[in-house]
Amino acid sequence: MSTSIPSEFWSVAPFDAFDEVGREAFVAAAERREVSAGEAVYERGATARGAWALVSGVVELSDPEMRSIGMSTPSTYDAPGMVLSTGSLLQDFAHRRHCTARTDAVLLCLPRDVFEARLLAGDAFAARLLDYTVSLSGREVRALNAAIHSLLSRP
Amino acid sequence: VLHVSLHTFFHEVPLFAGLDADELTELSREVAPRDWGAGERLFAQGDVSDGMYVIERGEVGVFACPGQGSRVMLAELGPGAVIGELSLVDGSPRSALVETVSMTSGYFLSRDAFDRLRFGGSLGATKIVLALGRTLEQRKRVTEERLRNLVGSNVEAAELHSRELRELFGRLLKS
Repeated sequence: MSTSIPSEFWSVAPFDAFDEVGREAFVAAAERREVSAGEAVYERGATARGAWALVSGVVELSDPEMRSIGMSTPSTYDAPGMVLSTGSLLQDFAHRRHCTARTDAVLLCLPRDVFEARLLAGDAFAARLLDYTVSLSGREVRALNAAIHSLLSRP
Repeated sequence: VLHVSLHTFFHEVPLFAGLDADELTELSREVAPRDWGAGERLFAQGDVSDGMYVIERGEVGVFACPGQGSRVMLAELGPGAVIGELSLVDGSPRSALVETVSMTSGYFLSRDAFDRLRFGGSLGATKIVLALGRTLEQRKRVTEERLRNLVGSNVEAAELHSRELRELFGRLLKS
């Protein structure tokens, strides 16, 4: 099954930490989704159901709220192995951004309940994903705090 | 200072709330009790992150140190508070200075001890990281909301930091 995944997918974090068993376990646990150009992968306001990993194609991410005041511009991504919405592995929440396929694309979705079940069953791939996600969340919290501090401490 | 039953105390700490009795026992073997007088430093901003603290009694102050010699109190934390928990999964230096405000007692869980549990196959350790992740994710969303409100309500000030903010919101697109 993992042969349908390009080798580049496994060369970037967090997937580069997976061994062959972990790769197969991840692919077996994830849901494959094919989307057509122009189709939404997820929309702002929708409840996040899990993390997404790009297998092939191009997706565009946009933040309408920050875009409206010039603080964010839509960005496109085409790197296999790029993970989106990692935080939804930990908590249910509503997406703040849109994700739309710019070309026909294939993604793998790992639902939160499946992730948690695999984690508590002791699957190594889930533990690696947890480390990656927690570490990323920590860095983002620090960056957000620094930005707030910067905004409040200087005119 | 008398340390109360670890099981009873740890069960009240949200980060450990999901652990069963065996997992709490396993964790209890790895923590070291600590006592501090008033005004003692637990760690300074920029120190190597070597583990986390759980406060049992007393209070500690958390300070940001934006410039040489200056400090801004970010929070005062009391019994049940967990400090430096990110060090269990992240090797980044300490992001704040923490000092006791009064006589304080608590526990220290070193990263090495935690790694022994985690990589020894402890489900309790996995549950702690999962709880830590949920706490961080919740904190991230609240903090991002605060930043968005700040930016939205004061676009002129935000413009002064627009490069950094665009970069940050760009990174957050994938969140």
